[in-house]
Amino acid sequence: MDTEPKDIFVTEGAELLDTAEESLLNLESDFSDKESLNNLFRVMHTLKGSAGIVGFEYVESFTHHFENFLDKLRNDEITLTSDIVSLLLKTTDYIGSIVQHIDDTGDDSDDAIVAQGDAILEELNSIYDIVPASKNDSKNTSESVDDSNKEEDVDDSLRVITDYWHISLRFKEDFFLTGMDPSSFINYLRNLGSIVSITLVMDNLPDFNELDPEKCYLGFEIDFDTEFERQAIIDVFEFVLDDCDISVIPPKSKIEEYINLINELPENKERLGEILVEGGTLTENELDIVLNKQQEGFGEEKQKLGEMLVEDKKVSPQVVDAALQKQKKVKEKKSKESRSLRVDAEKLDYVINIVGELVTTTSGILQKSKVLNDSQLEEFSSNLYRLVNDLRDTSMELRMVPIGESFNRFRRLVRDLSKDSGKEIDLEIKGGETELDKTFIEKISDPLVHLIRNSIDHGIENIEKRKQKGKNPKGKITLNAYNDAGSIVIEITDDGKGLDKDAIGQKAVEKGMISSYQGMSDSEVYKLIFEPGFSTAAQITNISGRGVGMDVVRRNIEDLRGSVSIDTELGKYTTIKVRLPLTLAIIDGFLVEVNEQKYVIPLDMVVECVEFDEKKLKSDERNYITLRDKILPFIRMNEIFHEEESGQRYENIVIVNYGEQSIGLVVDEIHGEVQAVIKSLGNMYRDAEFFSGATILGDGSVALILDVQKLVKVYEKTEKEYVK
Amino acid sequence: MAQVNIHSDDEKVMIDISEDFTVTTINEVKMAFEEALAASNSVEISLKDVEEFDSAAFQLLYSFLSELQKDGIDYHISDMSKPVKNILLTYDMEL
Repeated sequence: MDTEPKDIFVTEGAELLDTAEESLLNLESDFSDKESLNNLFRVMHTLKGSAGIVGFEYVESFTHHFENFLDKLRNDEITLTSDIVSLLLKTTDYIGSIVQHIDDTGDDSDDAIVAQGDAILEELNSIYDIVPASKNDSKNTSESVDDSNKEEDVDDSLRVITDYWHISLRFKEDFFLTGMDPSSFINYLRNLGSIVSITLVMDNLPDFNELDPEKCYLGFEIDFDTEFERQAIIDVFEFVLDDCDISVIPPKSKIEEYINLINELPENKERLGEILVEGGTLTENELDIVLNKQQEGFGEEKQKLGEMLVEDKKVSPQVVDAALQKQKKVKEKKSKESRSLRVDAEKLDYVINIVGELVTTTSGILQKSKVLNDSQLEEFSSNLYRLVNDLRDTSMELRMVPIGESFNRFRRLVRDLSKDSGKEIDLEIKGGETELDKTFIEKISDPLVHLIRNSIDHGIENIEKRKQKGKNPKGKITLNAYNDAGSIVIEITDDGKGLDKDAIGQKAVEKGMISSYQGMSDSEVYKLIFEPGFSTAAQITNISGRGVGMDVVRRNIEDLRGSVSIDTELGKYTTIKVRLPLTLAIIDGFLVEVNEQKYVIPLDMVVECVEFDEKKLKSDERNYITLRDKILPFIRMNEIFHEEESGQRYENIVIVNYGEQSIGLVVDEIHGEVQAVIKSLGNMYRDAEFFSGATILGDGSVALILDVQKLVKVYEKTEKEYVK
Repeated sequence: MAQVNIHSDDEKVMIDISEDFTVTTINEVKMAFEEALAASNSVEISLKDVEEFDSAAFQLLYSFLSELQKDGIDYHISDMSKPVKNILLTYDMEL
């Protein structure tokens, strides 16, 4: 189960591309959103770096060119438009396909990928020449990366004429004792570039009579034009760095470059000085000098490093600000990292399985200790049971992830489909923080995609129709997630035309699905859209309308022990409500007995238990009782399971709640709460429609877990038949 | 070794410096400058025979000329050798 660098690249690459897509969608809403643009640039920079480390040269080369393009956008050399955002999305999709290719094959390129990449680079090039024509050979990757870098280094076109380095030199009084002459250094400096201006500074020069001629009072302010880096300038004075104070202030464009460099640094340095040294703004020697100076202060008198650097003209205030921002980000990231750990999902599943076994075993121990009547053993067992309970809850929480990340992916879907359909649609996301079992999130994604597609294609009207109806021309889809009575509810609402009961009913009759829809309730008619082969779309579109899908959506949701319902108002809105259980693996259950067979009801659905009193029966034929002046329907469980009368004298009703429906389940005995590790029933029991699984009880016996949703449906069906 | 010759008339003091005018000979030159300053007459300096000239010498010369200027004493540099000119060029200075 060891993770290879390739796998790490694939996982991180996918996450980075998600971030890139989110940034692009933000940019599409607001072209001036510099933060998103910088974010996108950082993502590509990180991806390029990671690819280089792992040895995916093609990804490294491609992202390098893409990064160049993004840099031009950042520098306002390219004006962002909707078309460019689309091209950028296409480019990130393409990079995503390479990441997928790496995941599948372990390689980052083949002829098809290179051809596709060249086509995209050509499109980017047509907007701004980011790849020199002679270097646009993706196969010769490392060379093209290096050459482009060189090209950047000597690119003069971005410089402005007043853009010079400024060197401040102050020689110490003992300087002449070194046997060296300041003029030698200034002359040597000319080897690196040209001195644009030099101003002699003799502020400290004493009056002639007091002058000690062997002491040096010389200082210079120099404007210097060079292509060399800061370090090279400082190296000129390498031998006398202890005998003079020197500050080298970069030109304006360099300040921006330093800021960019600092922004792009990997987030591993937490100290301000280290960030500035790494960003090339400050040399280590300069840092040491300032730090030593800082150490001379005590307590509150100790000046801040950033302030000292600015005062000493070692670093410009803008660069210090950028470094402070970077420091803040690094600290936040480290703090976040120290709070989270990436764990292989398989390992997590293994832990949860083991915890499941532990739960079962502990229940057995507790049960046995009660039988043995050993109070000490019972106490230990209870403690163990409690601890295992905590362990179970904690391990289950490990699987829970916020649904927001998954929701964010739909922003792209809505964006692309709106464009394809010529509609304008906003996506609103609510309850992104709601947590759901990771397995559910993976499995619910496809059904949600289809529901959203359906809303866009069939729900939201086109711009003209919306205008005619006096609606906002821009449609809106709302994704909302929340916890409700032990379930997670995900709602997809569109403010479109709503469902037309008659149109659905007639279509169902035409297709022979039903003989008539007269007498069917609204919700029954609406649910017909989830039947196989149903489609009311007059035209088949790319988006949906092929009549396949909605039944698959329902089946997928039901496979997750969930349900789907519809709320709609003609001409106004449609809400598809998907209800899912909180988790797949272990549940708190309520143990009941019917005819000596034990069953588990998910505890979240249990409202209360009452004694079953035949005298309170509302009708001889129909199963209703009055409870606190309200009529409560109930199901006799022995009838459902086709069991004979148990002859039990005391029956109980367990009142359960599913969605908006409360119903009583008449059982023989109530045993109380129990932890249930859900085991699959296997193929042999696939027709056992009222059970969602089984669990092994502490005494080793098996209890079936009731599927309350199915039981509620039975009740609804019985009611319908009775009404007929 | 610096050769510093000072001679004066009623109007001015003439200072002729030759050979080595550097930090190693600077105290010697300073003494000559002090003498000239005490005379309070206009000063003429010849640097045409200076063979070595460094920043310490430049600093002293600069300080001396500033002092003359402060005291309102006229001065004139009659000629200067290449080493002197080179330093002045390096520092972009005119004396």
